[in-house]
Amino acid sequence: MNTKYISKRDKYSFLSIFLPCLLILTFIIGMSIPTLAQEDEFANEPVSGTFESGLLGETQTTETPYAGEFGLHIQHRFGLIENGLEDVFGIYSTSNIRMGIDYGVTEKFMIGYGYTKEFKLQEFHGKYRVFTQTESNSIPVSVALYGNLAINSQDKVVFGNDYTFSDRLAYFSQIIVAHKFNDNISLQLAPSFTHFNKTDSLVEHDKFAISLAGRAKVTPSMSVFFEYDQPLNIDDMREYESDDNDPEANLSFGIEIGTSTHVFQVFMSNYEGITPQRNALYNKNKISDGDFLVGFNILVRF
Amino acid sequence: MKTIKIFTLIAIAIVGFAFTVQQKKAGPWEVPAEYKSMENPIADDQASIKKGKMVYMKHCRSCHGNQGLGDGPKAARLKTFPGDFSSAEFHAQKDGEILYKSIIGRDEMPNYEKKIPSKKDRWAVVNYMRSFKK
Repeated sequence: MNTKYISKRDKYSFLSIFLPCLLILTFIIGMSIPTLAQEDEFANEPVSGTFESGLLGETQTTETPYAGEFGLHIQHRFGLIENGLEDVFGIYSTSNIRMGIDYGVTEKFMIGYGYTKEFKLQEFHGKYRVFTQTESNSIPVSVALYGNLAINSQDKVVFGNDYTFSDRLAYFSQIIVAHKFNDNISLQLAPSFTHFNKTDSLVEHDKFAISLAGRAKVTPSMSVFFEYDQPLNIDDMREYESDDNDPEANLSFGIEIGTSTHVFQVFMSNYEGITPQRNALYNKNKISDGDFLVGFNILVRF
Repeated sequence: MKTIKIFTLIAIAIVGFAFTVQQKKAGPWEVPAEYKSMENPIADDQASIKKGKMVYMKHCRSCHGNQGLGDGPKAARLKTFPGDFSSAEFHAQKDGEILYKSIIGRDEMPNYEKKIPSKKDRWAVVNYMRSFKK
């Protein structure tokens, strides 16, 4: 007899994330309507500096490099902190690294290439800034579209029988909605969709997720930031009845220092994949188990 | 023989130091008329000075120093002295002239049109620099 496996836990987790996010979005738009006293001359100018750069911890933001500007990214994730001083809280343990370069084709459009160590992922990504928030909040939010294609370039034996090239491909697409409250505080919400052409046994191919991130400036050059990513394990989308392989949520928090030519971020995170589709589908590190790791991102602008 | 070696070494050192490049003072800088006549639309209130300070600390401090005295950590590597922003000569300029020099730049002074795209931010930096006046 086939009984449909219904997970109440997942239904609640979906609603418990979706509803507060909707509430926050309504709050943001509601707050923007009584506008601050702005000079009329600058009322329709787009806001600048919603975020320091296009990358905040594990998530993309609504920012892109300027037209003609390059950004060199070095992203590093250490091992889990679980072994304490034995491996210096994961710093002397195994690591994952991504090096990438982004280019601002126009003010609104960015393309980039990156190479992530684990699974030898050749990533090609692009971001398009659909519109930007204005000073007077006549446009209350900035919206960007982000897409990422990762090609697993390991040897084909890894993919098992019936290998075809398309087995290597994984996709990630995201809509990013951000609001700059003032020069110090910005918040963003970003639902996403992940698809892997080929996955491990009993792992879903598709995953929706939603991300909430924010930063608060504490000094002219330093800010603190947080990020929460929730994979939406939607029952109607399930390929397999079991939820054993469902990915876990992520919490990142840390500090960011921005200068004219560099951005440094140092933070704790649960995600070790760096490449967003890897994180969204395969993250097994649990917040409640304290499965955190130290990570840093360095951006060089030139 | 030993004295000759020491003497040669000292001579080389003296000659070497004589060729050290001294930082030269910036030459005259002609500002276009449209910038000279530009009015600063941003009042120099607390908010704009605070904002200007944020932008200055991020983009300008490294060469021009915390008080605009041209003594920032990168200043020593420059061939031209970045300027003393506390001087009467600096503050005799109109806001538009300071804006032009800060954003358009020349030679070792970079162009900041892309890095500071917001007009509000640009005028805010000018307001902040006025606070360097001695």
